[in-house]
Amino acid sequence: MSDEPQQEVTELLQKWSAGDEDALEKLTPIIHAELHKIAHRYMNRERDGHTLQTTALVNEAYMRLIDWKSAKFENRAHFFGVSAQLMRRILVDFARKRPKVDDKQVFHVSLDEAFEVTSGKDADLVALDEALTELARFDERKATVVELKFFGGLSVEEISEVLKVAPITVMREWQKAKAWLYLQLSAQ
Amino acid sequence: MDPKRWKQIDSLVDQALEVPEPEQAAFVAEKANGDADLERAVLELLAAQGQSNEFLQHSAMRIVAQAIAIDQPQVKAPSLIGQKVATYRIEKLLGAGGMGQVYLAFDEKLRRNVALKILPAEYGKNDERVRRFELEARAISKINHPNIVTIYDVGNAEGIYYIATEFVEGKTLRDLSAGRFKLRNVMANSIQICDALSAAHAQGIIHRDIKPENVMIREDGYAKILDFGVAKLSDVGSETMSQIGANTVKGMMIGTPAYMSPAQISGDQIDHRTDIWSCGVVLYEFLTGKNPFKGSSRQATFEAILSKNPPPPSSINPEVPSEVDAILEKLFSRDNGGGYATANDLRADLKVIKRELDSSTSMGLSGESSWTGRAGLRNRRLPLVAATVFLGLAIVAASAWAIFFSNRSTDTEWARATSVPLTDSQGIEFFPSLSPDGKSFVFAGQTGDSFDIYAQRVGGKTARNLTPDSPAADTQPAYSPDGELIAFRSEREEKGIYIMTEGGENVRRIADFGFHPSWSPDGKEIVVSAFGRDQPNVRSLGDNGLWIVNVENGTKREVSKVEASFPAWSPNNKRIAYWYQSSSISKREIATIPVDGGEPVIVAKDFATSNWNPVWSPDGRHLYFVSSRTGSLNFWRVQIDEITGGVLSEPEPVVTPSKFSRHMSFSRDGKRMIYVQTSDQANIQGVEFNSKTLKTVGEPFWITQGEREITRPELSPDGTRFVMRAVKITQDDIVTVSRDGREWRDITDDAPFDRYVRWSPDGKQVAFYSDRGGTGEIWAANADGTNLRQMTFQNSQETASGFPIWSPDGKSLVYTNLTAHLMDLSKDWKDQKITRLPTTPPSDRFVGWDWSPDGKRIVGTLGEGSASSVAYYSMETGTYRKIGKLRGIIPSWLPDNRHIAYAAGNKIMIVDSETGLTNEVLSSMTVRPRSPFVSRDGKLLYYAAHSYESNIWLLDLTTTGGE
Repeated sequence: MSDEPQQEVTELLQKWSAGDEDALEKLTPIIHAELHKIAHRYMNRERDGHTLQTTALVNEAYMRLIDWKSAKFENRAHFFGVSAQLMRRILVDFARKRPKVDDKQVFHVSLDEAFEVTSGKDADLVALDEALTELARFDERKATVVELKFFGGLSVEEISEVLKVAPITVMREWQKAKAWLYLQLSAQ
Repeated sequence: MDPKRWKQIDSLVDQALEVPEPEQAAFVAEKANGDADLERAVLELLAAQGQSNEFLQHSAMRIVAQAIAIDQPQVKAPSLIGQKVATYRIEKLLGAGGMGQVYLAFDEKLRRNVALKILPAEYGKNDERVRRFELEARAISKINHPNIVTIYDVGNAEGIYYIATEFVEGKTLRDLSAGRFKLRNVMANSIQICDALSAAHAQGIIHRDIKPENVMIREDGYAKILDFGVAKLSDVGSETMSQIGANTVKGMMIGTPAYMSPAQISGDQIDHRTDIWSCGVVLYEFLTGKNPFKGSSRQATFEAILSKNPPPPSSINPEVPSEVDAILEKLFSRDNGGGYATANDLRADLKVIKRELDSSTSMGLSGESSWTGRAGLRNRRLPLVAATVFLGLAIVAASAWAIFFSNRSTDTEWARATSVPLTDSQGIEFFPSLSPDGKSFVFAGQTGDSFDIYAQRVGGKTARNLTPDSPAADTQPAYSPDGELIAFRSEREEKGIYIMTEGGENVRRIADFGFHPSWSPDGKEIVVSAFGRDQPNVRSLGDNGLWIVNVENGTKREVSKVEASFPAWSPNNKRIAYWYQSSSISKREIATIPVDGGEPVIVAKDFATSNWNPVWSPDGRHLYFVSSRTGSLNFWRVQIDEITGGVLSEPEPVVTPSKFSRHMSFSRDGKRMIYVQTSDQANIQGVEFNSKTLKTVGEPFWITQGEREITRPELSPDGTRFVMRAVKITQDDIVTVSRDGREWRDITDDAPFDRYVRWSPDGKQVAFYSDRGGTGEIWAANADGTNLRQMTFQNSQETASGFPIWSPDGKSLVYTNLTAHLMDLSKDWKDQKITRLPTTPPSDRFVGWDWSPDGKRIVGTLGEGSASSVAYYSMETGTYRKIGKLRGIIPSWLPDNRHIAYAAGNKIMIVDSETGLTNEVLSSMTVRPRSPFVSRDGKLLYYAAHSYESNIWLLDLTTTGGE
């Protein structure tokens, strides 16, 4: 594990948080590369038939990317907030740009749905992003909890630290936010 | 959402969560204190908390990484392409899902395309699961129905688990939902879906997830249900899914509750009626563009399904007939004993409506009989709703098409034109060309058995034969832009394209090939097609290409190598329009290319319709063409950019008083148009027959009567029913009728082309040609229309298999694919060793049509088109013998095993297969008799009697005070 991307990411994050939009352009490929690394490992493990440890892989990735200790942020909470925003932006962007299956390629096959996992469904990441923006209009705290947890990969404890509320409150806000988002997305 | 209001909701949710679950509802009701909105919002959120446990369970990063992982096999594992799995050669990746990839593959054993799903290795880890899954899949694969995507094979080859299914190309109803639907098509597709459900339910298999995504409409308009039984299979597979964390996203995507039946929601035991309900929801959505039950939330949707009665479809789309309202009302009835008990009951009711639509379509379009001039035309277009239904164009909401049609159909100037027939003689007049000044016209008209070019004044009564000296057919005349010359095609000894003066003098040949000449605007060149394809409904193979010939010196150059017919040179010398046979077997499409050659630009390419015979308006701003889009074959036009070929408008109908129209030609000022109106009817005629003298007794009589074109009728072995192909407008079906011609039954009644039908020797089945599988193959069905099944699997887009004939012992079948082939009916297709009957000389094509009663000889025609002659093939010697000298077609054996009847021109002949002596037994002045048979008892000679007429009509804008 090299430190290089870590430091680079942290610096870029600082710049971005200070309003430097160019920093985002440099950050995106780094994070994409990381995503591909996880994806690659994910696939290999699947092929080998090992039990998947995707959660661990992803956590590793977050840690590799974002080293709060060396960050020169006002505080840890601020840093978490910024990195979650950044991840949200990049990931949603990724989902938005992911090429859709060409119309001509609509070959339908029996049994396909039975094994469907995620293919073609990242559009919902986009829908989720939109719903989250809507939620923030009238309940900012719930929206932040979702951003930190779902996009930023933070634990309930970390979120509780960022928001300065009890973990049980974070948990409850998270569940209520999910219920609202779920209704929004399933009504579509 | 108002933040204050939200706080109120949010805090009540919090409070309710403190209360034990069973008491929550009562608690919320009490707290809400009559605020129904508040109560509903809180209850919805509480319910959603229960359902959203797995929702957003994993981080966004993981989801994206997974998505990348799924995308990657397409790039990273191309290794499977070109490889073989079991008997399948993998050709290309069609799509990938998290649990495997789907490939287009070629089954080398059965020589057909399949969609091959390769399951990931994960799948094979649990033996019990594999076993259960395969059992299920095999049960489903037993449903063999043309409207269900078939599972061919489930297996495991060297550790790779795969599922092979039928390969279907088309779009799902969901993809098409923004498009336009004709009510008639909606009915036809719904009937097909009911058919499919019936077949599956009969085997105890329930789909459980009928929704627009699971109904695929093939390019030819044929419906196929996807994923049959998958809902149940996926129960078996769900364990696997959760193992790899698939539920992350699944949580967000859980089904589409709006199509569930009340039983599914209530968690009751579900049965086949669940599918009928869902089918009703799909039908409703089809008709109105709206789902009848979908609410703003899942909960609201469920409530609606359990208790709401949706508004009648006609209240949303006025074109929906009230009978359809009644069907859906019955279908959504939740009373005990309400609803439809079986898919077959629903099918029966839908069929009644489709019949009515069909008959009103033909009534409204029967044109000439009720045609009484301009007033008649008005009546047919107004009132709007009636006219729309009349034209078979009842259209669904969400379709700009309806608006377009209702607003615009009156807009084309031709609606104001006066319309008069210019010729009314019996027989055929076609390929008219109007002189540039619009005052006279030339056309190809019948002279005896052949054609000549005639000239006539507009308004005059007599036509002058310009080519009286040529015994061979002269057709396709075209006035030069200055009106002084006429180009035409001739079949005379030196075939090709000829030129003469408008008076019929100075005849000279400018090319030794070519058809359908069209002049360049400067009159110096002519574009011709290399192959003469006149009929849009017959698929014919021949030379491709378009050539430009210099009128002065005959030099020629090829402008295009594509298949092209009826070239039309644009008025400003920019492009050439033409029509061609689409790769999809029964469609015709239109394209243009630059005059100097180049890439074609498609003008008209539709679902389920044929477009052909393009003609430029004299100003080059419109391209007129003939289209089957309203069910008849009539004129339409689009605005077009003459330079780029770009289409600038939706097609608009050009109203004429004719049912079937073609071959339009304009005057230079665009104020006059002439065209050909055709009618082609055929019914069964019979005449008493004396087998000893081989003569007919008395006059022929009609056995059937009607507007349909009936071809190749055959009486069942027991002499009770005729089976035949019946053509209605553009639909070809197989039907039977009682011997007295009164009681009709459908064997097929849908969009695909079904032709060339023959009884099995026991009279229990019929075999026929159909393109319902996407390629032209032999199909069979029981005499009552059940058990429809495919018999050949040649799977070729290039050649079709037709003319199935059963051997008298019922053990073999001969069919024709370019030439005759013999198959063994005791074997499955995959074990067949198809024998191709030899041909002599090798270039000749043999089409078998009747097996001799002793099973030793097959009679048919040898050779192509006009050069074909009657011949039989001997099974014993493996050789052919030509019989008689006359041209003849569609021969059959007499019961005496010796004589052969066949059609030639307007006659029926009988020839002795031993001596070659030929007798004329019937000659008709009024009809063309085709496909004669003598009944097995030897007492009846029957045949399809065709009456074909075509006349030339004028649409005139100059006499209406137009401009």
